[in-house]
Amino acid sequence: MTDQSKRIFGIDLGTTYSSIAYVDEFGKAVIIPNAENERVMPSVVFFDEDSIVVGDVAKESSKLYPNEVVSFVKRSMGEPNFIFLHNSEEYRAEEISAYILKKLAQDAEQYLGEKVSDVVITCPAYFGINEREATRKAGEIAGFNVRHIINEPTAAAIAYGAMDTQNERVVLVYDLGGGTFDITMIDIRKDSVEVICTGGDHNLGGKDWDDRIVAYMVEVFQNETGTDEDILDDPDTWQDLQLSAEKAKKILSQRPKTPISVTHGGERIKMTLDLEKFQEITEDLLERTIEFTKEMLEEAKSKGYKTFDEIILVGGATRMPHVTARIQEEFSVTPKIFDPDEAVAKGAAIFGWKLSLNDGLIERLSRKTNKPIQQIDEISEMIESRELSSKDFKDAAQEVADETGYTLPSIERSMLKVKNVTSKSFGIVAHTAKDQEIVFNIVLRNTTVPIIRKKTFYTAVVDQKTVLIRIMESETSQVEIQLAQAVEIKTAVLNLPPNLPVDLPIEITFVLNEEGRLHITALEKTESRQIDVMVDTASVIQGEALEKAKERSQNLVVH
Amino acid sequence: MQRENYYILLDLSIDPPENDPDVIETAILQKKAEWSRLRNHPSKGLQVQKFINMIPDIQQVMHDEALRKQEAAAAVEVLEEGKESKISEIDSHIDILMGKGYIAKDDIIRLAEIHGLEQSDIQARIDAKKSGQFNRIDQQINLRMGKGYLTEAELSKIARQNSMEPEEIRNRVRCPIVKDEKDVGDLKIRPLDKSIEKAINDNLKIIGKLSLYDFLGTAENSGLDILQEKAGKKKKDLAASAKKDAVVTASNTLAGHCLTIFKNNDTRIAYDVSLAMAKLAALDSDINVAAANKKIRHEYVDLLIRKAMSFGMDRQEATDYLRDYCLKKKYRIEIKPEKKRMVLIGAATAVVVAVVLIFGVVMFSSIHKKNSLIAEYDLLIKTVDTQTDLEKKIQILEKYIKTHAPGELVTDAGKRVSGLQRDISEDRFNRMLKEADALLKATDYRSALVLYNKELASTTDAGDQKTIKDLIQKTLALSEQKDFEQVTAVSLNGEPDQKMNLFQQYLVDHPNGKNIDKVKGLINEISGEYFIFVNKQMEAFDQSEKWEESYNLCRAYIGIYDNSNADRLKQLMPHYEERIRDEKILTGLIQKADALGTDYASALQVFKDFLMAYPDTTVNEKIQKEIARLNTLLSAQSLEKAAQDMRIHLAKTGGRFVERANGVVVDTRTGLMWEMMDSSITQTSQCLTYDEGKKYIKDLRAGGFTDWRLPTPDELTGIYMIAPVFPSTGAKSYWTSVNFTGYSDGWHVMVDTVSSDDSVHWETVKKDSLECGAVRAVRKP
Repeated sequence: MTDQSKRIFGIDLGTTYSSIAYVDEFGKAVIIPNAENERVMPSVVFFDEDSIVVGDVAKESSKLYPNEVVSFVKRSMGEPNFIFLHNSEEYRAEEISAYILKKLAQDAEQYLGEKVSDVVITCPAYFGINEREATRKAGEIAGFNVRHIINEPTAAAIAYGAMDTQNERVVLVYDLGGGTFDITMIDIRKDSVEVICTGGDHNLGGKDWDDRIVAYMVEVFQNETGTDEDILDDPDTWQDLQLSAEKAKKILSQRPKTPISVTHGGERIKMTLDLEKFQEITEDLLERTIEFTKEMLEEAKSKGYKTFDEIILVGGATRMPHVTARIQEEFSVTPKIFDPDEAVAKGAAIFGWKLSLNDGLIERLSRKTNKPIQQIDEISEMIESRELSSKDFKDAAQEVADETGYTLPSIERSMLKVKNVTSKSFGIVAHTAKDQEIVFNIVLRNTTVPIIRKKTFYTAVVDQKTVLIRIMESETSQVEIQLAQAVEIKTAVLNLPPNLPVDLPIEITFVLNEEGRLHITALEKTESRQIDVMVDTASVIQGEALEKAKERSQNLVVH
Repeated sequence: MQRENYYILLDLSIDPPENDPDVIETAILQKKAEWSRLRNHPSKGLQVQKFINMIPDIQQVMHDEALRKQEAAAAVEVLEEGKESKISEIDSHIDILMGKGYIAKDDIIRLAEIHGLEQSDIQARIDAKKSGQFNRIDQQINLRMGKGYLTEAELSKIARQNSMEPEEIRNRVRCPIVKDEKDVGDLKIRPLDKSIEKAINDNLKIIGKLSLYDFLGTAENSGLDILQEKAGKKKKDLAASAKKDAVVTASNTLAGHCLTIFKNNDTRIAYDVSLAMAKLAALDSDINVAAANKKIRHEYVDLLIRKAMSFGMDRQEATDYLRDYCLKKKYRIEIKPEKKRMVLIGAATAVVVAVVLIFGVVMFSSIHKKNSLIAEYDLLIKTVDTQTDLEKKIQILEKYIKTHAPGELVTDAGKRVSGLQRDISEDRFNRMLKEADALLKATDYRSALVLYNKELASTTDAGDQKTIKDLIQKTLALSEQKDFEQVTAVSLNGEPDQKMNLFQQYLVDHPNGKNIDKVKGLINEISGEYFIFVNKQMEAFDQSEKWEESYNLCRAYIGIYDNSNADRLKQLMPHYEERIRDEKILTGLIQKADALGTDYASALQVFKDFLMAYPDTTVNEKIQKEIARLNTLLSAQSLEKAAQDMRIHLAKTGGRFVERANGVVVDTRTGLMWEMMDSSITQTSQCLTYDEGKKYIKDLRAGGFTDWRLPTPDELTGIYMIAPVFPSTGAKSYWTSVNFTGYSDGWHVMVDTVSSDDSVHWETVKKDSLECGAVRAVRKP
C-alpha cells in the first residue's frame, strides 16, 4: 500500500464497548478482533499498579479493585474537572480514552502485521464542540493521526447504505448505545448518504437501564434483609451489582426472566427479575427516546422530509425486545436491527477508506480532464452531464485499483458522498438595543456542514485594543435566545491593530467543518487586515497537560 | 435553590476555619478524585456531577480570602440551620412523649441524644411548643388514598368532620371514589415500584422539589391532560437548554417519569398512593421513638393511635396499623391496666411526685449532682438486670466504669463485673465438661483431649486446672488402650503401608505409652515385608516418572530402619536426586520457551543450547520432543507468513486471482482453481522428483478438495506468462502433467516443466523426472 493511499482504520470509541475495523482488499469492512479474540472490547481501563489493562480483564477486575478501574469514561469527555487519581498522578478522560484506543490499535497491529497510524474515530451526533475536540485529543494522545471525527449514526448509515446502494430511501437511525442516545434521519441515495436532522441525549443509554436494575436489586435486598443501609456505598458491592445488572439486562433480551443474586456484608439473597418488571421500571427511559424521535421528526418536516421509509436500530441496547415493540407501536414501522455492535466501526472504516481513495481518484481525474481539483466535486453529476467521460472515470479508477490493490468495483463504490449536519447551534454573546445580554446564533443546528457564516461587529471606543468574543453552544433553532439556554464553549480574543477609530466594522467568520469543528477568523474590513484570533478551549486537555499525557502514553504498553 | 457550603462540602475545619491554601487545594483535589470515581454511580452519579461542575466556583471562592471568610461564616450558619430544620420532627416527638401527661428528664436526655442537640435546646422547644392546626382535609384524603381509592362513606365523613360540602371534598380527591368496599375488586391498583419511587425522590432532591406536581408547578388535583401538557412542555424546555449539568439531567429524568406516570389514571394513582404512603413514614418514625426497650408504654399507645387518626385513619385502622407495625418491628405493646388500679397508682404516683418535688426543691442545690449520679446508676443496673446476655451486661458496666470517676458506684460496678466474669467462666467450664463427656462416650478421645487442653490454657482457677489435669491423664490412658487394640488388630491382617502408618502414629501419639516396646517390636518384624512394599511402589512411581515420590519412599524407609535394605535404598537416592533436578530444569526451560510466545525460533534455541551443554541429561528425550513440537510450529508459522505475503501479492493482480477458500485461488480469467501455495513452500524439501510430485498431488487436500491434478504446460504458462501473472514463490521449475519415456541411456522419464531462472521470464523446458522441481496443483471447480 503506498503512502498516498495509506490504510485508514475506523474506531468506534463507545461508552461501554469499543471496536476497530478496516476495509479489506475487496472493499469489505471487517472488524479486527482483539488479542483476547473479542470483536468488541469493554471500554474499561484498570490501573494495575504500574501497568494499564484494558478490556475484558479490566472489566472483571472492577469487582476486586473497584477504585482502580475506570468505566463509562466517555460520559466525562470534555469535562475539565473529571480526574482519575492513581499513584498521585492525575489522568483526564481524554488520556484514559487514549488507552482504550491504544489497546485497540495495538491488537489490530498484531493481528494484521501492519502499523495503525491513521484513524477515523466516531462520536455521538449529539456531542458538542468540546466533547468532539476531546475525542480528537484522545486519538492524538494515543499517537494517531486522527483523519476525521465522524458521527456514530452517520457511520452506521454508511455501513447500512454500503450494503445496498441501489434503493434510494430515507432512514431513521435509532442509536441506543451504552451511554448515549442519538436519533438521526438520513437520506440514502445511490451515491450519497445525507444527514437531514439529528437529536438525542448524551446522558441516556444502556447504562441507565442497568442502573434501574441496580436500584431494583438494592430495593429487594433491603426488603428481604430488613436493612436500611445503602449497600451501594460499598464500592465492591456497587461494581458487583453493576456487572450483574448488565448481565441480567442481556439475559432479559433473550428470555422472559433471569435469576439474580446480591451479596453484601455476608448476606446473600436470590431474586428473579422478569421482563414485565424490567419494562415497568424502565418505561420512562424508553419513553424519552420516543419523545426525542418525535421532536426530531417535527424538525425534519421543516426541511421538507415529511415521511421516512425505514427505521434501523443500532447500538447494543436496542436488543431489548420492548424497544422494537415500542417503536413499532408508535411509528407503525417494523424496525430493522442492523449489526448493532459493529455497524459504527465498520461505517467509520468505510469512511476512512473512502477518504484515502477519493483523493487519488480526484487527482487523476483532474490530470485527465485538465480541470483544477476543486472543480471535480460531484463526480456522478459530472458524468451525467457529460462534463466527464465515463471512460476517463473508469481509467482513473483502474489506475487507483492497480496502485492500491483494491478491486475496481470497490473503487467505484468508494465514491459515496457523505453530507452531515451540525447537532448544535453556535452563536456569540451580543447586546440588544435595550442593552440586554443575549445569545445571537450564527449557525443554527441541523444546518448542513461545512458551512461559513459571517457577522460584522463594530469597535466601541477609539483605539480599542481587544475584542472578547464568547462563543456559545445551544440546542434550539431560534436565532436569539437567552444566555441561560446556552453554554459557553470558547472565548476568542481579537487583538486589534493600534489606532483604530470608533465604529470600525470587523467581520467575524465562523467556519464549521464537516467534523463539526469550529474555526474563527476576523477581518478588519476597511484595510482588509487579518486579525489575530486566539481561541481558548479550557475544558479540553491542552498545553503542558496534553504533552505530559502524550509522553506518558508513548512510554506505555497497555495489556 | 441554595448551594452547598464549600467548607462543609470539602470536609474542612470550620472552627477555626481552615485557611491554609495547600490544605484547601489538597482537599479540592481529593474531592475531585472522589467525585470523579462516583461519576457513574447508579444513585449518587447525578449528585456528584453537580459537585464536579461546581469545582471552578469552589476554587474561586476558596482561594479568595474575602470570599472564603464569608463562606466560613456561612458554614457556621448552615450548621445552626441544620438544628432548625429538625424542629418539626422534634415537635412531633415531644407530642408523643407528652402523651403520658408529663415529660421526664429521661425523655429530654433521650430526645437530645436522638437529635444530637443540647438538652437545653429540647427544653426550649417544649416551652415554645404550642399546639398547631394541621391542614386536616388534605391529610385525611391523602391517608385514605394510600389504599388506592376512597369510598363515598369516607368522603361524607371527611366533609362532615370539616363542616364542608361533599362536592368540595370530591374536587380534592385524585383517586377513584367507589360506592362501597364491594366495588373495590374491579379496581386494578398497582403501587409504584419502590426503585422507581426512590429514583424519583433522589432526582427531586437534586433539584429541590417535593413531588412531581411541585416539579411541574401544578396543583396535586390537576387533570391528566394538564399534567401531560406541562410534562411535554417541560421536556421541550429542557431540550432547549444546552447545559447538561446534574440539574438538567435530573429534570430530564423527572420529565420522563412525568410522561410515563401521568399517561393514564392507573399509573397516576400508583404515584399518588406512593406519595400518601410516604406520609405514613412520619408516623413510623414516631412509633420508633415511643418504643423504648422495644416496648411501647400504654400511655403512648393511645397517643400514637390518635396521631394516626390525625392523619385521617379511623380508630380501628389506626389500631391495626400500630399493631402490624409493632409486629414487624418486634415491639411489645403494653396492655392498659384496670381503671381502678390505675387511679390508685395514679394517686400514689401523684403523692410520690409531690414528695419528690418538695424534697427536690429543698435539697436541689446541694445534692442535685449526687442524686442524679445515683439515679443514673440505678437506671444502669435496671438495664443490666433486663439484659440476659452476660457478656453484654459486662460491656454495659465496663462502659460505665470507663466513663465515670472512681468512687463508691464505680467500685460497685467493678464488683459486679468480677461476679459476672466468674459466672461466665463457670458456665463455660460446665459446658466444656458436658461436651467432653459426650465425646468420651463416642470414644472420640482425641477431640476430648483438644477440649481439655484448650480449657487448661484459658482457665486461671487452680481447682479447675487440677480437675482438668486428672481428666487428661484418664483420657490419655483410655486413648492409648484404644489405639493399641487397633495396632494389634491391624498387625494381624493389614497391608504393609497401613500397618506402618498405624505403628508410627502410635509412637507419635503415645511417646510414653505402656505398650511402646511392643509396637517397636512389631515395626522390626515387618522390615522385610515393608521393603518389598516400598520396592513395588517405587517401581510404579518410576514408570510414571514420579521421581520425587520414589525419593520420599527411600527416605522414609531409611528413617525407620538401619539395615542392609536401607543401605540398598541409600545407593538409589543420588539417581532420584538427579532425575528430580533435571525435571525441574526442564520445567524451567519450558517456561522460558513459553514466555517467548510465538517467537518459536528463539524458543527452539533455548532447548538446543541446553542440549549442547548437557548432552547426557536424563530429560534428553523430552527435550527432543519439545524441539520437534517447536519445529512443527515454526514451519506452520512460516507457512502462514508466506500465505500472508502471497495474499498481498494476489491483491495486486487487479482481481484476476481471487482467494476463495483458505489456501485456494481462482483465476477469474480461466475459471481454474489453483493451490495458493506450492510444494516448495509447504514441503520441508524444496525439491520434489516427478514421482514425489505426483504423490504430493495425490495427498493434497487444500481447500477441502481431493481432485487436484498436475497442470498442463498451457495451463501453467497461462498463469505465469499472461499478465497480470501469478505471484512467484521463488520456485524455479514446476512439473506439468505431460511426460514421456525414452531409451537413450536406459529407462528414464522426461517431463515438460515450466521453468524460470529469475522468477520473471518463464518457458517450457523438458527435464528428467529425477531432477529438482516443484508442484503447483490445479483443479476444475
